[in-house]
Amino acid sequence: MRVIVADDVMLVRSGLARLLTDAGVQVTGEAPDADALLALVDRDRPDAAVVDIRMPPTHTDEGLVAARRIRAGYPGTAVVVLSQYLEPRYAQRLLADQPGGLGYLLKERVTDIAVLVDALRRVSEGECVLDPTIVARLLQRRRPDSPLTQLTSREREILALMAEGRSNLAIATELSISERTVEAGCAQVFRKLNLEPSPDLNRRVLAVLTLLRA
Amino acid sequence: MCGVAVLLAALTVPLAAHLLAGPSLAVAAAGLVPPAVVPWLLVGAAPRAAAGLAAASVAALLPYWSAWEPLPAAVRAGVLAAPPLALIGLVAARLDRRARAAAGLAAAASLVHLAGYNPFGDVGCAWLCADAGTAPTATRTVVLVSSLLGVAACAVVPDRPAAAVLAVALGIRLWDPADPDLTVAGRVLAPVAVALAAGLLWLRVARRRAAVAGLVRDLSSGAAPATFAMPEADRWVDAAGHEVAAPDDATVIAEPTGPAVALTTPRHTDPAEVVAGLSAGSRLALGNARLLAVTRRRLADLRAGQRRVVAAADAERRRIERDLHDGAQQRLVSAALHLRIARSGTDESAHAGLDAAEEEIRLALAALRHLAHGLVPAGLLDEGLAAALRELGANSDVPAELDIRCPAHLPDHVTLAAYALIAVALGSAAPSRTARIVVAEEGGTLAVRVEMSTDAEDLPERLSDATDRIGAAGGDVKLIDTDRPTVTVEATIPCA
Repeated sequence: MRVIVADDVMLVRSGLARLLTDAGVQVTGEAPDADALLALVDRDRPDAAVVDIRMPPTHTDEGLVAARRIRAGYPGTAVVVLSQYLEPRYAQRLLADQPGGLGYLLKERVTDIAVLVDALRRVSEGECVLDPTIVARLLQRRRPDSPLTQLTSREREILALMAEGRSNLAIATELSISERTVEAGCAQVFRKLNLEPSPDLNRRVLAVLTLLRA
Repeated sequence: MCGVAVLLAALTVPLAAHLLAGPSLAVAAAGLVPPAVVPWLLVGAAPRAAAGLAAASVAALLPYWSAWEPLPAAVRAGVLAAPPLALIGLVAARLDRRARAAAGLAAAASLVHLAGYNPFGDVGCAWLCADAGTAPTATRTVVLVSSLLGVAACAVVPDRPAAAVLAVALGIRLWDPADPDLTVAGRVLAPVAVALAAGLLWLRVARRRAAVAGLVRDLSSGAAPATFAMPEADRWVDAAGHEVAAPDDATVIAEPTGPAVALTTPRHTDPAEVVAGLSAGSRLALGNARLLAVTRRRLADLRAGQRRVVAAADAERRRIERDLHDGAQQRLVSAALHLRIARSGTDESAHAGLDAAEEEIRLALAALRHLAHGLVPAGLLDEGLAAALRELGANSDVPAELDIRCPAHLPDHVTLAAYALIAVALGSAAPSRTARIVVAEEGGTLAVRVEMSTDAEDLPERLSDATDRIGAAGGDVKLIDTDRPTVTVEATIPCA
């Protein structure tokens, strides 16, 4: 898998590149800001990019804007945005239109490189990955009009892991249940969220979107 | 000018006394004027009235010079026609239209008199007395016309008290029984002149009273045409406390400490007289109005100061948050990354220690995020109040029903104040009932209303920070909790 790393702090950038390389990912370039990132993406056409949300000049949401531009201009390149912001607002903004091929992880997640590599792999396959902490926050909501209220606690767990980008097998392992039970649970979640039958991947992305909007 | 008039009058008195066997009562009275006028002029207490009296004494006494035989006949005829010209002395200091009109009328009166009645240059009645029967009629007509012109001149003189005194003087002269030729016209004109003088004075007093009454009425309704000086600073404010430019054409009432009130009086009134006509009560009201205006200004200044303090605190908080994100947090992430890199180069015996260090960093990052995450969410000011409130509602444990009708972008301090209030209120609400949040902007004021159910006894304390923000923005907060657990928090915030 070919990946570009964009972060304005050199030490973070190089450390991240080093860890990704150690994990078997090919890092084709490193960018200190959004413009350099877009230039590298245009040149290398990588499978994915890891982008810090805060980059020069304003250090607010440059990474978010760049991610959406990459997804619009280079459909073959998936993006994982690393963010300091716990508020779901930014995740909502990133994933509002087309969540497929996009991921939103909290920055500190990078130390667990396996999670990041897994997320990169999933987004490059067209899935959507959301940070577990933010998923937990979203699921804390107790809105009476939300379709999430109809889910059982087991179904909520399945949805949460689904939103984190886990496969059915990983969910089964995590919850210590059979993969078949997970599949049944997923079907229940899709039904309760009124997601029409469609390819499984698409429905998983839509389920995350429902969670974000609920 | 007044000095010259006084000098002329003073010279005239002994002359008249010398030439006339028995000076009339009018002459005696007029002769008393100059000595009375002099001290007024000297102390400057009532210069306008003094000038009027001086001009009047000249007008009344100047004709007596005509009895001095050594003077050339033309001069003797001239002094007979001179009285109305005394008016010119009154208006000489002015250049406005009315002063010119008064001077013109006075000159016309003298010319008519001089041309139509000249007992010295026309001894044989060469001009007018060809038919002896018509002479008195023609003379009376001339004098009547001349006198009417003189009275008309008095009527347009801007200095009303002086003109009134002069009109009376002209009337007395015409009425003077020592001048048999003029008695008939004089007996007609004297009351007219006196009535005119009285009318002018009455008009003046009436206008002044109306102006004072209007001022008092405006004062009680808070719409006085006045601006007020801020103490100890060269600043002027209107009744509402808004800063205005220093008054140019208004009358300034000063206090020992400096200017206090600038009053704009109605047209056709003398500002000094209006000010003098204010009763003690009106002055007190004016002082009160000033106090109120000054207090309003001070309050506005104070709120502006409070807003600056709040804004500075917010800016500082944002700076700290940014520093934490861009500084400490980045370094911690970087340290964790390098720990992870170091881990791959060590054998398993070192992993436990490295894992512990990594866990510490993870905890530090979580603590940092908690620290940096303030009451006000990032993006509130960029995305606007409505978007932030929807986000707040969506993430709240309390089900919330939002009704938001406000512009996308409000002033920053209004957005922050409204958000802070709603966030704290919603954070104190019990999840058992749907909270209702209404935000509406109307007529430059943002009205915020949160209806909810809560058992938080310390709600006022929780709301105090938001209440301070709203107070600094010039708004206020009302907490209605008589029907607990149902509580309504209401606030209005001016958007200016």
